[in-house]
Amino acid sequence: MKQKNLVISLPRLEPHRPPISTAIIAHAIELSGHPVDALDLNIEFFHYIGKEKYFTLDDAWDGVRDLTLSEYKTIIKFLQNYNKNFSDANQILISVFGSSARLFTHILCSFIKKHYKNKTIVLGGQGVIAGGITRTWKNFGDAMIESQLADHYISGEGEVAVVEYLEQNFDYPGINSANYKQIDELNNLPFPNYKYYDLGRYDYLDGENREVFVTSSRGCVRRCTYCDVARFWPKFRFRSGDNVANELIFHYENHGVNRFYFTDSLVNGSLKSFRDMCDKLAVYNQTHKANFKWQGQFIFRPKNQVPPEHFEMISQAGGHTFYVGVETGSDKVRWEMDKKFTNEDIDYQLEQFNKNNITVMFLMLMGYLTETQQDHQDTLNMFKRWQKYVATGTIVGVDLGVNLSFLQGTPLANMLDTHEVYFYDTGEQTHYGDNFKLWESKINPDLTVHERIRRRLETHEVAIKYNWPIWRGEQRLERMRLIAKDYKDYRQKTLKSKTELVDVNGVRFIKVKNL
Amino acid sequence: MNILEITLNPTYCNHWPYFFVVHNNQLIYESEIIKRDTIELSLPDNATENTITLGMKGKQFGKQGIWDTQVDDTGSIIEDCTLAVEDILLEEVSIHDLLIKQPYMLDATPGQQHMGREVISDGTMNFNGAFTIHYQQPVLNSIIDQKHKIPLDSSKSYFSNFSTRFHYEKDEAIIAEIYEILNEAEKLSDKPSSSGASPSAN
Repeated sequence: MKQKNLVISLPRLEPHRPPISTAIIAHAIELSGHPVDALDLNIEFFHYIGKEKYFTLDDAWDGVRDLTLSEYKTIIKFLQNYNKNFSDANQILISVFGSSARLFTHILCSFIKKHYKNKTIVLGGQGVIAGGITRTWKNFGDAMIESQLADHYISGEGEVAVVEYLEQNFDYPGINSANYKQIDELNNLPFPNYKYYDLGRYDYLDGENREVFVTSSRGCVRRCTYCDVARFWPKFRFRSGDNVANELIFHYENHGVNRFYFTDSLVNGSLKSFRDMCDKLAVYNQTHKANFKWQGQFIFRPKNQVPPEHFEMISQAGGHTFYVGVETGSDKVRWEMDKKFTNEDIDYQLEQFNKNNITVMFLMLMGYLTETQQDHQDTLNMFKRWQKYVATGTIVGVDLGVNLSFLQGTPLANMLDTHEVYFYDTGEQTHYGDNFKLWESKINPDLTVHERIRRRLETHEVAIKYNWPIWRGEQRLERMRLIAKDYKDYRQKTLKSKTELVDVNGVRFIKVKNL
Repeated sequence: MNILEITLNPTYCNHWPYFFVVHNNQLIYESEIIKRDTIELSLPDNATENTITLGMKGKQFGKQGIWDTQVDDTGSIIEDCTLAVEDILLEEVSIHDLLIKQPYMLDATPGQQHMGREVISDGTMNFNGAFTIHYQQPVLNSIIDQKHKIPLDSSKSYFSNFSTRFHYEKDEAIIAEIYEILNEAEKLSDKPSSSGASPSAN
């Protein structure tokens, strides 16, 4: 007799759309002939404690503070409502979306293991393996198995691996291992199916218009030096434009959905596929009055690659808001990041966006490894240069980020030697977490930790001066505050002490010298 | 100087409409508009509080038996002296939406008193009167606030809560606290950082 599977999504996810990961996995399990049900504990928890309380937990999910005892008891009481769901299933598959889902995962697994001895728990999602450069590197998945809170984990793309797992092929790449296998042909995968969820329960952002996630590609065409997408998805793969357009039309015709959020690293990674999708959607939009609106991450390209008609087509297809990694106002730094577009290209694309009622969110990264004072000034100048587009409503947001991190498997992580990067040895107890934000480079000695924090603050101040729409500003600054506290603690610790550079597994740390 | 561009489209009856622009109580433009046209004006930018008034005058409503609106036997208008503000740009940014949010203030004749002083208009001036809009310097900051700033709403996840944009009191408080931490850190070592003291210490 086949085992009953329960696929669970949990906080923290946004309550504004149904989860795509479990809509994919549940559908893959069903198509392979195994019984499956899905449960979105995130949206249920959102309704259980109410909107306002739900959002007060963000800091806890982000690791900025601990849960209070009262909050913990509330979660346990909430979980007791699902005893029948847990009891009926043989296997419970939990989607760990990222690091901010780990705390709830831990609580849920503890609850199930305590009350249901015979249940198998399988973890999946980016949160089971993602992380930064650490000296004591350990996957969340491995840690959970070691502490007997989970039985297995599946890393990487789950559609195929989960079916192999259910067929008990535990040797399949990615099962209990970070070494997973990419799926080469995305066109053959089933669409995520949202039939497992009550779409009426979500807190949509655009009134009554329902919105769901769509994934048209995996990986990225770029290799931006700071980004770890290629670590998870070494090869860029994309669906045909026709296939993607069909999915949007499927969700519209089956569930009345006309708002879409692309999860891709870049929705226009393949220009051909993107154009094909837009062509088909533009025709459908016009003939069916579907009023499609969609958004996602987007890359600005050299202006000679994208004529004005390109933007008209995007607009007609329903392309509405794009998140673009502008990163800096310095052409030099952006080039060193391997972004391959200039401020002049941005000028052109902002004008095209403006003409076609397409809006853009700037994603910024301050304090890059090679950033000079002039580069920083170029970033500050950006706010005046493009303020007009804030006023027209073309630029609808700027995320100033939290400062540069060296993530595992990135080109930047391979530059530690050439740029003579060293980290402050902050010890185990830090405000920020495993702190790799406190770094300096002997090749760029002016960019001290202090100076990097100062530039980040100055950028925020100049953005305010020109009245830019700063997005997540308070949350980002709270993270900067933690970095500043770690910096201050380090200065305190090393006061009047001699320091030395120490190599730990190929990473240099500056620490108090043992006399 | 700030650049104001107004695109106008007139209709004729007996004469073309007269258009005027007043900036901070100074008449800066007055002319008959005889075809669709864009007028470009330079506005002084040395005052913090500013007012632009633009309107139409000279339309006749029966004085000495002259009407600048002609109707046929069925009452349908066949000729009318009107002026449409198709667009208005301040520093290259359209503020047409802000303009038509404002009431059109009538310079009413005795026969029009029943209409009240204010009428709603899509930008077309059918009667003598004027729109007035206010802004502050810096002008783009003011336009941004007027067009895009909305009240805070705490019922959305912070990833998707766009109401926090342009509300920066908390940001500024946190920035000040971080500068303070940096200054304290600076005092904690015999090895000064290369960037020196932060602003709040100066």
